Amino acid sequence: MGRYLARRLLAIVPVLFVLSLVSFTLIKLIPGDPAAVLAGINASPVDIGVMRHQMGLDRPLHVQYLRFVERAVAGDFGRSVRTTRPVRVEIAQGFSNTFQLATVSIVLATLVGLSLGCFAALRRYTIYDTLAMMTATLGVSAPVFWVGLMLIVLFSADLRLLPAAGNVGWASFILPAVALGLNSSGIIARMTRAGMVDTLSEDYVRTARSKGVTETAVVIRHALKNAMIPAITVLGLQYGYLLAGAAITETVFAWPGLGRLMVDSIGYRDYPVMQAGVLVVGVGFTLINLLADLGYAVVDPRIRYG
Amino acid sequence: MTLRPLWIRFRRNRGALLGAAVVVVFSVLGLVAPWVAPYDPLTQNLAQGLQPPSFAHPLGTDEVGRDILSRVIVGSRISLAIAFASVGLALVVGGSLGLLAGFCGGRVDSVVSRLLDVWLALPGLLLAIVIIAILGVGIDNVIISIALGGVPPYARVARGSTLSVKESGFVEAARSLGAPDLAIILRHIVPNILAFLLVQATLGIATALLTASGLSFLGLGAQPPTPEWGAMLADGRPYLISNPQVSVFPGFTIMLVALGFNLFGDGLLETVTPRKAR
Repeated sequence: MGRYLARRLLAIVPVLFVLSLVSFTLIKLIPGDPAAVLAGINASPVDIGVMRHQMGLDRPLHVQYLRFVERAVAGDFGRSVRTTRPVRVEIAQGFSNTFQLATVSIVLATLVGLSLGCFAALRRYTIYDTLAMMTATLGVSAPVFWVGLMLIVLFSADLRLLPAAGNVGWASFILPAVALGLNSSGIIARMTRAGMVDTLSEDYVRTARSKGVTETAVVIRHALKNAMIPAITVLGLQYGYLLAGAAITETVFAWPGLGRLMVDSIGYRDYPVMQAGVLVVGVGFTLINLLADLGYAVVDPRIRYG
Repeated sequence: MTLRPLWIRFRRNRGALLGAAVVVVFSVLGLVAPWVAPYDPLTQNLAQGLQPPSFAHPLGTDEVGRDILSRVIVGSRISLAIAFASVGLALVVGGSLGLLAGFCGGRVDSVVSRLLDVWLALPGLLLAIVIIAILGVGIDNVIISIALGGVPPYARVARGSTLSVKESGFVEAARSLGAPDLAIILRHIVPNILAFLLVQATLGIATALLTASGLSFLGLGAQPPTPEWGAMLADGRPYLISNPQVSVFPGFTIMLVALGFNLFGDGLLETVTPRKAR
């Protein structure tokens, strides 16, 4: 296990390096002069020159990169152009909000997906199976923003049941989490069904059944554990995807999260926030996938020796 | 592989047939859209703004009086064009990379695999947003950003298929007969990996459609007054409660088309995957 961990850690080093490069060059590639933006509208060419020197933009590229990495590791990404607050404060707040939403969504999606998948697998090849998988495919095909808007119309406007915007209390999690989790629950349901169908035809399940073990126990104790293995990898990917891709859901529900921050920062030309956001999301996603891989290795010992 | 037995196997899957029907209908619609749409999708008629569905306007009108049905029809041309273009691009780039990695093996394979790992470090939507931040908004850049974000799956499928084809007998036979590498690639490997790549592409079109309309919804894709489905949804947001038709119909269409491609793709996958005993 230790060797596998070491190998995986080694593998993400180049990834982290490239992520830092991408984040660094992002500002260079975007049209516009960051120094001019930060200096303000009324800045004269002299002021912009001073700002440029202050930002270190007149140093050679590799020096700039090293300083960027140095500061990034210390958590200093400068100040937001839009709010003038330290970027790391903005990012931390956004990340925390998105993390909460993503976690609730993934829990919801897993519960629904696992249940639906098991349900379909236990009644496989019947009409219930077809209906369940249709529902799952529907969940995968529905555009998140449309579902979100429909939910708002239905539950917030017409029924006045649930809040439609912002992060105010536990009730405001419900609609965004459902919208966000819909896609993932569909994917999890399909994977679970596929895994379960495979597992349920294995010999050891037949043995358990012929021993007289109840169907429920067979499902829960034997089949589910093994069927969940591919589901864990999917879970990791989905979690990471939710953390990053919640941008649309956050925009629909005015959720003060990282995704919405990133989208807004494009419009505002808030380069420091964009830079930090790319780095944070990229690193976070990579770490989550690493955890998912490790989880996979814990559950399935064959992986460690592959 | 001859087509007829594949078709027989395919049509056993009712969902896949439904999906195929949707795919065909909307593809044709996309082609003939300008001639089929009852009204001009861009003509504004402020007096007729925000009308609910009626005989004259089966899907109602939007906030500046444009006929929603016409905009949805013409929108199919735009949205499908974006989806097909980005998937096509990703397929070619990813497929080539994967084939290269699988065929050459060794150091080339390691380098490409590392590259793919890094590529996957930024999730699709975020990558698309970053690329648009650099290139600017608009349909062309949406195509590029979705294509770039979507390359890894095709590379992986191509690499995997190439590796398994390489193991099979006829590649070895061709080699021992002295066939040059390029000939082996073109005549043996490509035809055999094409099936899985096309299945991946079909499913990818659904994802591309959802991502593209999502980007347009955020204002990063198709710009007004282009009748792209996602953009139409965003336009309808202020009128959601009073006049939901502006947002409901385009969104429903997106779901319908994505569902169609997903069902079709699933059916294709089932058809080309060698079956284990049930």
